[in-house]
Amino acid sequence: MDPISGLTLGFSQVFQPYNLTFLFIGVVLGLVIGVLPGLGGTSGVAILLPLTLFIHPNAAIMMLAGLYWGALYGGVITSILFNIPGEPWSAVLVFDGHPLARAGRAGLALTTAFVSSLFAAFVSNVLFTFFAVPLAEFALGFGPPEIFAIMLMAFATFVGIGEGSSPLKTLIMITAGFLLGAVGLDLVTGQPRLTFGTITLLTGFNFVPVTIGLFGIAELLVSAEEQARGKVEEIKARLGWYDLVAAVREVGRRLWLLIAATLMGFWVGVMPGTGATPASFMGYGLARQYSRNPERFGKGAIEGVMAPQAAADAAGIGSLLPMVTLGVPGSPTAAVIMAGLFMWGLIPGPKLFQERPDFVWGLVGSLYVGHLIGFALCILATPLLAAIMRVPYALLTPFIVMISILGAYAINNSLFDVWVVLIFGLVGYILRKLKYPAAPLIVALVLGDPTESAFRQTLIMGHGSPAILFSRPISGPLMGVAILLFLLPLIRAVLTRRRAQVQEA
Amino acid sequence: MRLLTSRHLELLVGAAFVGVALVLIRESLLLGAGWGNAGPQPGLFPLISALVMGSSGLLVCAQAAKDGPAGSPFAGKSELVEVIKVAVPMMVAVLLLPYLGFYVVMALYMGLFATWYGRMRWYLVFLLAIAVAVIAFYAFEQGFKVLLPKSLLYGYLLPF
Repeated sequence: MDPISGLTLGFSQVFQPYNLTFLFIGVVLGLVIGVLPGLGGTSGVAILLPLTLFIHPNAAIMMLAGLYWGALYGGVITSILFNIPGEPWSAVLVFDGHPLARAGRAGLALTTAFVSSLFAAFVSNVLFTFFAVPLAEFALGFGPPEIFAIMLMAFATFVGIGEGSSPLKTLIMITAGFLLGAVGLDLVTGQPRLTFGTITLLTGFNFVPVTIGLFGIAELLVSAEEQARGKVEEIKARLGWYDLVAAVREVGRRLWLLIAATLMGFWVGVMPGTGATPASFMGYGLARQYSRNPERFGKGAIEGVMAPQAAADAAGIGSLLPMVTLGVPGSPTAAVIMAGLFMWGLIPGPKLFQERPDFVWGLVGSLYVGHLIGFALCILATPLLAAIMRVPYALLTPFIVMISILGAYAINNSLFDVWVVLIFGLVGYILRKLKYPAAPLIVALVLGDPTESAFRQTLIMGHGSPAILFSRPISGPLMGVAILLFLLPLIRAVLTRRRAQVQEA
Repeated sequence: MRLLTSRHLELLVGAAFVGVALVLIRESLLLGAGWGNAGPQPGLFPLISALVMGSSGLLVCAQAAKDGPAGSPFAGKSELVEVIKVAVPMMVAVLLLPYLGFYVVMALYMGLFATWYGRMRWYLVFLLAIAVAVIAFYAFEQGFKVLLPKSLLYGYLLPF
């Protein structure tokens, strides 16, 4: 199907009242979750995932993707007005967004972020629309070695450009995800694996309770610590037409920066593995590097709001592209959404475009409409959204815990899953304090089975030798990139040491 | 009193990963990690994963040990108390789930936690908590038709 008729089909899907309602609910929930610092978009998607079993998949994907966009917008509000990151991908907005708000330009800072986001979203959506089909068709020719190489690249990305966490800890979390995923019945022989003779473990670890625990509950416990440190201050903001006009003018003056940040963010998103969070930091770096007066950064430079937000939003959209076309998520949030596809009985990958065009194009259509809804709500209702921060922690915590329990239980109607949430929450809290990254574990857990089956089929094709991975025209270069990414931390360490020696000499 | 430092915990967690890896390496070898009739045996992939996990864990421990005795406390005392105050009620709620059912636990947990932890006025909080639980009942039980744990009185006295 060509992109234009695909998009027509997509919009006809989005504007069905049933689907539109769930898209709207998704965006609103995303905004709320985005504003709340204790709960991130990834855990929000995971908590809601079990409930999507009870609605149509087309509406479900729109709701979950809508939640992603909502959280991308909502995090901005908390970062700029409260000086604490509402989401990991908005953390960088604190550097310049909050100083702007302090200087009485909160309205401008917020609106500029929203306008940048919308602009980036529009460009990325167009890229998505026109790249999806060619990429899917290209991927149709992929065999197990290519798929394994892409999976390996996803994990290498975490190790190579992880978000400031030790590469060793990232490796531990990736393998822990694989091992958790391996528990249960072996996918080829059907033998029980790593179950230690128990029946409970035969079904394996579902990724939903693990995700809710590692992200949701662990985040709640970390924010419990912050309760001990006292209250946060809020800067009030009301957005008007004046701000919108000023923001559009600011954006217009730096259009090239915005385009560059968008394209870079989209690329980071499409690359399997990490997503919006590193993209936002890279967007900030880009803006500072090419600024004529980089000394203003950290004191309220509007580019420091614009570029990271554009990059983050573009990365969010980009991360869904390999998810639907290849079955390899571009970000942790996309990984959780992809797990949803499996739950609804769909197999992400090139064939999805032929089998369920209504589903895929409905998602594409909702990218456009969902962003418009998010933008409109932010412009109209920022004071209302900021008021969510006034809901006391003591009321919010039990509510979030109960919704998490509900999500975990609803998957299999089993209390074991509820305990998994709790245990992974406590373990996740400790791991988070020690800077073990949670996202690689989740991605490894979701991708564990596909990675392993690609690995085993590759070995069978190569008669036991992995050399086949390097000799095929597509998987060879991909393996090269993956190995380079794995070695990046080592290369970096050697370079820093050499530089230090040069300085000493 | 000297609290747990990050370094202690770093060593402890690293060692725990090494321990888990050792157990899983043994399990994988028992499963067979070589070449079988259907290609690679089921234990191969877990074996590789566990080997990477174990060696990374060892290196993390080595790094933590090399960093010397200086280490920041894992968490301040007041912060740790706060975390425990949040974590324990959570566990109690899950423990009560099979007996009281989802909706009763929801109302009680929200009400008691906000009264005790948030020092909010109990009658207001309970009014709100019960309202939320009732809305949740209609939304999930009737709307989404999700089957959630019911109380021991379900079917006798209560509809939930």
